Amino acid sequence: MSAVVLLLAILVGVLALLVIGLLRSHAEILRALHDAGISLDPDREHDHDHSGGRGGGRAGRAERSPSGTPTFTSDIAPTIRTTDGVPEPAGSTGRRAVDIAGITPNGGTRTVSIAPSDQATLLAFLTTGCATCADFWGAFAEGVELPADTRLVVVTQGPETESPADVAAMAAPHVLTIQSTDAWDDYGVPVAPYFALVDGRRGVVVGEGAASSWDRVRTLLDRALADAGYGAGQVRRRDLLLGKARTERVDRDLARAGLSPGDPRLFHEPVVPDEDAEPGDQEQPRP
Amino acid sequence: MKVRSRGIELDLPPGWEAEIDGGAGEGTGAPSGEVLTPRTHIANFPMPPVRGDFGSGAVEQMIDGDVLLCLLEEAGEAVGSRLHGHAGIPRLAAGDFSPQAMQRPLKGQSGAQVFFHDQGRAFVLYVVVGSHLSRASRIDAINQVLAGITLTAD
Repeated sequence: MSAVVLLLAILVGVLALLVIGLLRSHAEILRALHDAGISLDPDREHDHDHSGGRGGGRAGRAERSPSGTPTFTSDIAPTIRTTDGVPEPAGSTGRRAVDIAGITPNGGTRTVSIAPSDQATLLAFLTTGCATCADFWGAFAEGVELPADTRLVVVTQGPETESPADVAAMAAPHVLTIQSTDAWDDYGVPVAPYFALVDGRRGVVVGEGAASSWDRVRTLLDRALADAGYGAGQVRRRDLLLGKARTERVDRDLARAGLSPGDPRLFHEPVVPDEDAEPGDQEQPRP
Repeated sequence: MKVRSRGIELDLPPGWEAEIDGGAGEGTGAPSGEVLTPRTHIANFPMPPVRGDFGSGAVEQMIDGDVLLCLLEEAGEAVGSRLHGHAGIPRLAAGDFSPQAMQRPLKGQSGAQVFFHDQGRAFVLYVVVGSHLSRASRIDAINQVLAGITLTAD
């Protein structure tokens, strides 16, 4: 009899160990699901905080699909976080364009109509102090190639921050330069140099961000303009009527034929027909 | 957009831009003692940063539909002259425009020039349209801009 009791006690103990193991395993599974942002507790679906989990700070909640499978949904679009001090990539922000008013390097008071316009405007927010900005000032003075539908406007902060004399010394006469702190505020400029491309037809910012070289800006510019429907073989009416489109096409054709400005083949003596030549003789151009 | 400088206030319709400065010589090393009077340029197309008083540098880029207004103040002795006898900022009509009124004739373009005085100041208003043939279609817009100009005494 005592042997039977002892056997039952051992059996109960083994079963108890099995139950404890199963409960522990279940708890670990629940903890893992919780860390993954999935809650199976219907009473706590709406008050979860996933900030410390693997969700990377995304706000969300667990829901059940019609089949009963838990799924994760998010109320906020995923965002890209960058290190402090580094601006987030903006791309097409949809920010409304704002006309600019400020002073020019020669002391004038100037407004610039950004929209409505049949062209895009590239706003270059520069300072006179930063080394990277100096590269852009220099590039603009030497002349940068812009898409046909794009206008460049350099914007510095107002005279309360930037010395007008310093701006005048840096600004190229052929590049529209304006001092306007309001413009920096309106376009939310976080750092310098900073660029914003505005679609004049829709009146919205179609691309913005910081860049360290003109080549990088030009790459972003071409992409944003293509997305906005500019360029891509289109000829602007203004360029067509002013003959600029024809000039550019001729330059392209000559370049394709291997003729560059100053090529000696462009300056040879004109071909003069030889009056004594028999019909059919081939005329040779003079060297 | 509103802008104000040198006793000239502009209330511009959308799509127009302007610059008010001290004349072509300001900031360009003009001879000392030379009197520089306010110069205002208003346009409905992108104005280049460097322009002559009467719009040279800008008029060459104008096409059909473009308008440039040049409001140039003249020296004080012009006030009271018969040339500037018109009082107040004028309004224009299609008949005021002529290709012969251009400072430098440009094919297809047309100009109008009016002298006037206001607030004890004498001005010349010179307006260029990109196309003489379609000048009538721009008159309302030109007069809307002129209505948005307010001059105050120096």
